[in-house]
Amino acid sequence: MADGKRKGITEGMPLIQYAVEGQGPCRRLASSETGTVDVVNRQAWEVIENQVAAARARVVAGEASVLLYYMAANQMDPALLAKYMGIACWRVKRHLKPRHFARLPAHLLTGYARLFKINVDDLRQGRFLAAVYEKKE
Amino acid sequence: MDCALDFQHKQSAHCESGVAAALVSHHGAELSEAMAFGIGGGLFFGYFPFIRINGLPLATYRCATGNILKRLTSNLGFTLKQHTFRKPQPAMALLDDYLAQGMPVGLQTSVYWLPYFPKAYRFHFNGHNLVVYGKEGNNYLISDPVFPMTVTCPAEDLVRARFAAGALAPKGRMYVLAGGDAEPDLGAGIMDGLGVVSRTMLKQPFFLIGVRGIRFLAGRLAKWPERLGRQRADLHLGHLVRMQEEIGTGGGGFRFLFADFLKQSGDLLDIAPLSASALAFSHIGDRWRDFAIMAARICKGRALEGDTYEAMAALMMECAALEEQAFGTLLGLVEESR
Repeated sequence: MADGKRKGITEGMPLIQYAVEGQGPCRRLASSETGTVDVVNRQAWEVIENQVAAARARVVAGEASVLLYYMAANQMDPALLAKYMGIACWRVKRHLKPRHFARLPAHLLTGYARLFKINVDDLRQGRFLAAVYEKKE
Repeated sequence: MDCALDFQHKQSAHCESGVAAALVSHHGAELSEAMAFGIGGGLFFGYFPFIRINGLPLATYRCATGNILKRLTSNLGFTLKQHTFRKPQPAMALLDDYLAQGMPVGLQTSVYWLPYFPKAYRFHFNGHNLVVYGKEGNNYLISDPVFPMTVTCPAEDLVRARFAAGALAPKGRMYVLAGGDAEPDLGAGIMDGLGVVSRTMLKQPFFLIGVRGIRFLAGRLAKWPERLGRQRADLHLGHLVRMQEEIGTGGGGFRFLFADFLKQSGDLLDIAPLSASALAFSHIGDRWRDFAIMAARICKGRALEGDTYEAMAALMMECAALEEQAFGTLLGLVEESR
């Protein structure tokens, strides 16, 4: 995130903003002018980053499975993750525990891996990879 | 199947009114974004603390997603054909089908799964609208109204975006316009849009909606620091500012966009008081923006002297008073025109 700081949240993309100026109310606002939005957007991301860091620490400490990290990194909670997986919420909560996660059948692992755009092996080995939105095609 | 329809891409401030304006323009009735927003009755205020987004209360400055399109198309005499699906395959098949027939298709999607969005906007927000106007190999050609240029998106990602889960789940929702008049009666549409917005803002009996809603939120906001503690209060405040100023609002919680609509309508129908109201609303938008700027200073921990929650509540009360007056004038104009 640090490298994106100076460019503003739109990464240099101009947006349409409306403001009354003389005759035509419409004008383009350069991304550097969106300072207000940058502040509050940054604030929202800080909350997410803290959640991810906390999740990661719990996984490292062995209190939770690596799934907790991927769930936090992708801004999900058990209920949302369960909806994406098409399974019950209590099952997702179970999979967040290391000992249940270790016994997860292949089809569920594949499902999680596909959702987070990672390999099954990454999940098995417990690697911390970037969230979906960090990936560049 | 490769195809690219002749579709005029135009960057807009707000996704739904941008898509609505582009689709209506494509069908022969040239329409600006602000007109689409106004005739669609897009302006609103509602504070719904029982609906939580990332654990923070929802405050909205616009009507529910889909309503602008519905009202705009019915006001201008178009038929809006909408579909939702349970499974992705038929949803993508019908999309290809419409494209093959030469019809651009509007989609409701999540922004989280769209790879062309900058990282900062990738939240689980499912109310985004865009137009698909072609396909090249495995990529769909997309006119996304908040972007300066057209973009492309791989089919797998578009499927995910169309079938995102969670609040406002799109369920593959798609729509095309049919029928319609190349020269619709804008005057009646403008008056309907104005009437709906001013009545909701002034006459809604529910205390969380309209001008009453703004006053209620102002009262709540003043007490946030003592009720929630400083840190949570700042988060609530930041969330409010995001709803008001972030991508897709045109700034000032849509008030500037609405002002532009009033100005264009005033010129078109030659009603001077409408143009005067446009100025009133851009002034109101400025006050909302002052509020956002003060809030941003507080969130950043760089509060100036006089930047307090009480001062912000007072600013919001002022917005409420100004809006009460401005919508009163508009309601009078609508009733006069009957």
